Amino acid sequence: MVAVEGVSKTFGAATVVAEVSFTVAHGRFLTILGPSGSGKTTLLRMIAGFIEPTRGEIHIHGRPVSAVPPHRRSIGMVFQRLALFPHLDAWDNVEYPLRMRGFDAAEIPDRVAAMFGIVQLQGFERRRIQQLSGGQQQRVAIARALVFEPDLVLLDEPLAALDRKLREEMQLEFRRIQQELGVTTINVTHDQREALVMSDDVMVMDGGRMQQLAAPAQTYRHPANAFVATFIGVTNFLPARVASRTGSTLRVRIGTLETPARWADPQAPVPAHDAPVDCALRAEHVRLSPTPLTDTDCSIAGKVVQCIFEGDRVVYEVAVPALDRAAIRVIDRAPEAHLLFAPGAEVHIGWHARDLIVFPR
Amino acid sequence: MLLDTLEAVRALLWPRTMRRYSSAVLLLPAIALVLVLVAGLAWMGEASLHLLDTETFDTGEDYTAANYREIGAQSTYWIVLGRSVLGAAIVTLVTLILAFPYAYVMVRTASAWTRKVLLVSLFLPFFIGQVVRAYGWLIILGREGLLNTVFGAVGLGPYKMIYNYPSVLFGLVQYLLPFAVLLIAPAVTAIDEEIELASESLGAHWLRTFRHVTLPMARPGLVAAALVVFTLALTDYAMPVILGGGTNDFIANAVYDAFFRISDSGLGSAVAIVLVLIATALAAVILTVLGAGTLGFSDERR
Repeated sequence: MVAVEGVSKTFGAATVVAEVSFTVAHGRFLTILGPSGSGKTTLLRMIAGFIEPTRGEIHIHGRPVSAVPPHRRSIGMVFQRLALFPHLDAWDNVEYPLRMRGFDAAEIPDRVAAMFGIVQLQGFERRRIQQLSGGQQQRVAIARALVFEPDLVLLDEPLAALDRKLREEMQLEFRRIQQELGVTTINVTHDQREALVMSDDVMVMDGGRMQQLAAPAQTYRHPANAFVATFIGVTNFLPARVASRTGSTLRVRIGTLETPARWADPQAPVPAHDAPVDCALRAEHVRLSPTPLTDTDCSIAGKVVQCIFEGDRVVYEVAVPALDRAAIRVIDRAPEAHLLFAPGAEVHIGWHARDLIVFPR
Repeated sequence: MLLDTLEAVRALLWPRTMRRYSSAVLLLPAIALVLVLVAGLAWMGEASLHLLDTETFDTGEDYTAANYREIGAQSTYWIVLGRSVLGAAIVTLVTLILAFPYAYVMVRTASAWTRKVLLVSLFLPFFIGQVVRAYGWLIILGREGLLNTVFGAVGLGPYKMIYNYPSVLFGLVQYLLPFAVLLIAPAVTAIDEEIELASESLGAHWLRTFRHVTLPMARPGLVAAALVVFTLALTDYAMPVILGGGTNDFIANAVYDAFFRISDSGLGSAVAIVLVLIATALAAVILTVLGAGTLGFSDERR
């Protein structure tokens, strides 16, 4: 188990990581998701021991590790640029941590060979690193980080440099290996898809602060704040004002439209009448129709401005005069609708009240 | 219009069909220079095979290996030879040991200020020149020099710090250090810092990381530096003359003496040829032991 307790890091006047606390249970896969500059890599490097926290403590298996140098922590790390040893072949790379950590020389060959089996790289043991493809190098780096059975594995965006197809393949592949070995893993990425696909838990970071820590589906469906809502998924942001509230039902006014909505945090107090708020509306939650919609909680007229065909979906931009915001992005996944609307088409859009999430400003 | 004219002139002077020879033409000056060197070497080789008639001071017509026999027979030459090779070896070792940390810190330091200071102090001696630097050491280390004045003030000395073997080697190390640093620095730059971090996270403390990762990866730079430092030290003339003061001659000094003191161009040529052969042989040994592949000459590209 890994516990991060109130960890902060400041460089001079700049606070890169601020008061971050979380725990990762044994065998879980946590992804720290955030844009560049959010402090996620600094946080990972503090866990690895390359950077010392300014405040706070990190526990691995119940032991505080502040005073433990990286080579004494039982952490396998897969680096952004992989950091394989170019002067050693694949086998010697994987063998390296076993030799450095003083494993019994007699069992080293078996362990290394078993690891080549797990990452499915048999037959490539004696290849030089430069002779391996990008995906094969990834597998060597993963094998090297796992072979000494570390307490914790850290992934520092190692998949970022791969092309999309290979990246998605390696995401599933790493998830398979991680579950097979049951090793606790912390992954860092700016790729929301990777976070949702690979993880048991997703921690969203921005500006050095933890924004939300929850299961992927939870982060997606119930973003804790406006940042999480924008960062994950394609989201329309609409400035609005509170029109009325009766019990748990909230109505907001966006432009000239007054419509029911959902208050993001049921525990937090609902703001006063006419208070300014932000409404988040996911692009795939907006319905599009040639005629006024009757089965949604609202229906307003607009005009298609742009239509982008992306294969499995079509992204529309619809100008809605009734809303202050000029264009609403709509994702349509219904295949029969693919070629329904061309730019200039008069359409009606609508959504359910539960999908219009209101955040305090 | 002007460009068109120039283009026409160019086409006339160097037609399109000649294009594929362009690279060869660009190589010509360099090849010419090398050829002059080879020709000079050949001339010396030829000259070394004629004996000087000590009565008429004319070079004999007949081919003979007498000059080489003379070198082999005289213990002075063996001493000078041994002194040069041993000196070059010591200088190479010491220079590399000093240059590596210098280059490493210069490349890795996070402070731009430190890097600048290290770079400037590296280049400054280059602008001064070898002879001036050697005289500088005379001023500092000489009998009436700066150091002995200081020692004298506290009642010590004077010490004899010049005109001996260590002072020659010291001067050579100081002269060759920048060359070594400049050749090693790119090799260190090429080592991604992440690789050293990776080694640490895999269980190696810094010394083992240095031994198993940094050093082997910096090998191309070390081999290049060793080669350059060794050959420059082995063939050096100024340091043995100025800091050795004639007491610790290297081979180049022997060549000079043969040519210009006793005016025996045959003997001088023979000594020079011996020097070329030894330097070539030892460079070959360095390359074989440390691996030519690391210089990028192997078939298999890194």
